This record gives sequence, C-alpha cells and structure tokens, in this order.
Amino acid sequence: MRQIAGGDEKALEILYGRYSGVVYSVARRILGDVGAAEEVLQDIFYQLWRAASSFDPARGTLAGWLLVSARNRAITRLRGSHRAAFGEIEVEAVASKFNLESSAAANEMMLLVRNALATLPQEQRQALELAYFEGLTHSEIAERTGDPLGTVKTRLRTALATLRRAIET
Amino acid sequence: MNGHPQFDEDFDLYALGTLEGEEERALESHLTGCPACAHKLEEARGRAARVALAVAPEPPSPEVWERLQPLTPGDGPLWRLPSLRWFLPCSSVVRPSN
Repeated sequence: MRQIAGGDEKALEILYGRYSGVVYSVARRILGDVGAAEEVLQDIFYQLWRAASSFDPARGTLAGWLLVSARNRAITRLRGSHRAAFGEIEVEAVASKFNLESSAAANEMMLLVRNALATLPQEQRQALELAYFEGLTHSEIAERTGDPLGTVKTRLRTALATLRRAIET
Repeated sequence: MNGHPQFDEDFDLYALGTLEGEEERALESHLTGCPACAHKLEEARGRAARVALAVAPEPPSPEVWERLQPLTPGDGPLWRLPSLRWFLPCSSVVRPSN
C-alpha cells in the first residue's frame, strides 16, 4: 500500500490481479448485473488508488477492507437511497486478521467459510444470505420469508454464532 | 442501552445492517462512548467480510482494468471514467488544456 500511495502503478496492478476476482464476484452476486458489478469494482480500486496513504494496516487487512467495501457499495446501489447511510461504513475501520495474499491462503479461507455455511440449517442459511447479499433488515427478512420476526432474529443470531465459532478457530 | 451488548452477535447484526429501530439506535448510541465495543464492531465487520468468500470468484472483464488505466499519472484525464465522475471532488478534476 505504501508503494501505491507513492504512485506505483505496478503495485496497484498486482493488488488488482490478486483481489479483483473476489471484489467483482461479491458485487455481481449482490447486484446480479455484470455492468453494475464492474462499476463497483472500478470505483473501489479507484478509491484504493486515491486513498492508499490513509490505509492503516495495523487496523486490519486490505482484504477485509476490500470485501466490506464491495459488499457495502453493492448493497447501497441495490437499495438505492433507502439506506444511503449504510454505505458510510466503508470509511470506517474493519478489524480483520485474515489475508488472501497467497492463493493457498485464499483457498483455505474460502473453504472454511463455505463449509461453515454448508453446515447451517437451510432456514438459517437463507436468513443470513438475505441479510448479507440483499441487505435486508430483520423485519424485511420476516416479511420476505413469512416467518415471525422473533424466529428470524433467533435464526440469524444462531447462524452468526455458528459462523463466528467456525471461522475464528 | 445502558450497558454493553450482551452478545457478540449484536455487533455482527449491526455490521450487517440488519438491526433496525430502537435496537439499532441503542447500539449506535452506546458505541459512541465505548471504545471497547467500537473495537468489537470493527472485529464484527472483519467477520462479515469473510462471508463474501462464500461466493465463487470469477475474473472480471479485462476492460475494467483497461478503464482504470487513465488513473495512472500522465496517461489521461480522470474524467474519462464515466462511473467515477460523481466520485471526484471538483478540485480533483483536471481537464486537458486542448
């Protein structure tokens, strides 16, 4: 990041090669549109280029920042101005220890997350996916699934607790 | 909310944007005066980031990188990037003289 802050285009190209696939793919999953996902990707790397000097690696990894930014930008775009403030999260700190700097590390983390999600009961996974990939609130999920609000809350909490235990071990 | 949130999932739910109404406001209010809980929220955002890895990565079109090329110094004006025009503060838009 120091090299990028210093205007090193090659360093940006290396990071783009390493992370563009995951950033683009999560945006595409959320938006369901290739062109819109490409614009999110483009905007994020443009922001990275311009704001590299303000990135503090002591507070979290670049991978964490990129993935949170990808999700938040895509959700903000998906939902229009309804929850515009939600996009502001991306300028806030993301504490993450994981990195995806090698393909082995990336593959290991992907496998861990997918396995953790696969172990969730279908209704918990559905609630988590509606929250994560569509940015729905508790009550919006309840409305979508037709389940009681309390049930939705319990499912989400249980899913998140399971996920946390799986990925932090 | 007078005390700290009881469960780590509260931070996860807030990080996902899933809380709403009084639950959201109470946690926001608590976070402004509690550095320990603010740090827990940062950790929750880190956890949330990993969920994105459940999506199988696909490479984007090479055209996206090509569109980013004008960002490199001397290669062209930034305002050529259509989707970025809104993002540029006025002071950073430099147009060519000809």
